[in-house]
Amino acid sequence: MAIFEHMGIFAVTVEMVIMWLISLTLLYLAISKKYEPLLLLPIGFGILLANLPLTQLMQPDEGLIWRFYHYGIEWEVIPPLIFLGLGALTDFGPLLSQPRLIFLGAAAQAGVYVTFFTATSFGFTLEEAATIGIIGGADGPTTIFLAAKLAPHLLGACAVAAYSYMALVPIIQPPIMRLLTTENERRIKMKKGRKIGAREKLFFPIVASIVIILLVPASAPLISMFMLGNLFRESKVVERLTDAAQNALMNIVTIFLGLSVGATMNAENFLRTEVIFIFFLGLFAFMIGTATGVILAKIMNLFTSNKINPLVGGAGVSAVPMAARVVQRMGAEADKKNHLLMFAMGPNIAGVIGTVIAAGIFLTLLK
Amino acid sequence: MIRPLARRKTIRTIFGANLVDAGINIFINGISGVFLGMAVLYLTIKIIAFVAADRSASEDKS
Repeated sequence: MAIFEHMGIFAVTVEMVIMWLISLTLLYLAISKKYEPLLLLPIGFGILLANLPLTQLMQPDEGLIWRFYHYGIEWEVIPPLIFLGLGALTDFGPLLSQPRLIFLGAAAQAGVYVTFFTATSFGFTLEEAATIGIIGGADGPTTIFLAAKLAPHLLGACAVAAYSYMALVPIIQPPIMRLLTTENERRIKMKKGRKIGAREKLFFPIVASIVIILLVPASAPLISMFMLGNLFRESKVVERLTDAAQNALMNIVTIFLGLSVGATMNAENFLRTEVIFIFFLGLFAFMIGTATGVILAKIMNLFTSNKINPLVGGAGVSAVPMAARVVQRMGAEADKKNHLLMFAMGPNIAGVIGTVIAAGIFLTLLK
Repeated sequence: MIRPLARRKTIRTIFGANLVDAGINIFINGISGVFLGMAVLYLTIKIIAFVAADRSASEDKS
């Protein structure tokens, strides 16, 4: 009967079944373990859909999810919109009150570049290596933005690696931070920064946009939206826009982002030995980024009497706010009265900006 | 254009001269670019603080 020929059940392959299992694992982690559920849930479901036969959901010019992917990610719409929401949610106060901590966000980007270089040694092309390296920035939208431009075939694997490791920050970072710091260093109590006025917070997104975009024009799509979102927030005259960027818009684009990214992970793209290397290198990038942040904080302490708790350097890998929470927890373990959260938010936010600059530099040099 | 910087023959032989040259070039440009960007941003924050902080402080007192 002709109907049987059009049934997907007869077109199922072993590779597809393996991808279903990967999809179900991500759904389990998202739903039961609550690991980055906002992203891993739609990504997991996207993987499932992309690996059901004969659906043509990712068929170019025809498939529903292909349209989400094409117009959302290939056209660079969704990652900048996510950054608009992130900007509206971000308080630059901790960074403005302790500007020296910005360098810890820069140091953590060493993980990106060390991994980039390591990946080229493993035989990845420069574009692929850049995409893998940026996982170490611990910034999902930036990873997706760069992957879509430089190595679209690695997009799914890199995005899943980035979001998985972001969820695993509380497990990955503490052993490295403990290894590189002494008990006394972890007890260091930092002096509070000065109070930041409303006018400074208002000026920052405007001036920072000009400065960063003039330095790295390729970072403009992400930085401009990030700073616009923050300007909404700090201007206090467009509360409806701030609310939309923080909530409704962010939620809507997150759905399309997750589903599209998941749907790029068909068996042909994903079940390759390269992907194992990507996950390994992504973890390596996270570890190096954490270590370099902590080490720079220790070096800075050699030149200042106003000591920095080196744990704060670990927050330079973005992963807002999880990395900052890890710092707070570890500081409190060493001394219950030590509250490092607000100090850690400075390098944490600087890490976001640093990762965007790093991505912009990759685009400038490789595109 | 990517300019060759690598000079270590052994590494270049193992991994391919062009790739290593390009990789080292991007590595150095990348690290220095990020730190330069952050240093400029640091100065920007200092300037903003100089221009805007006093007025803000007086607003806080009032």
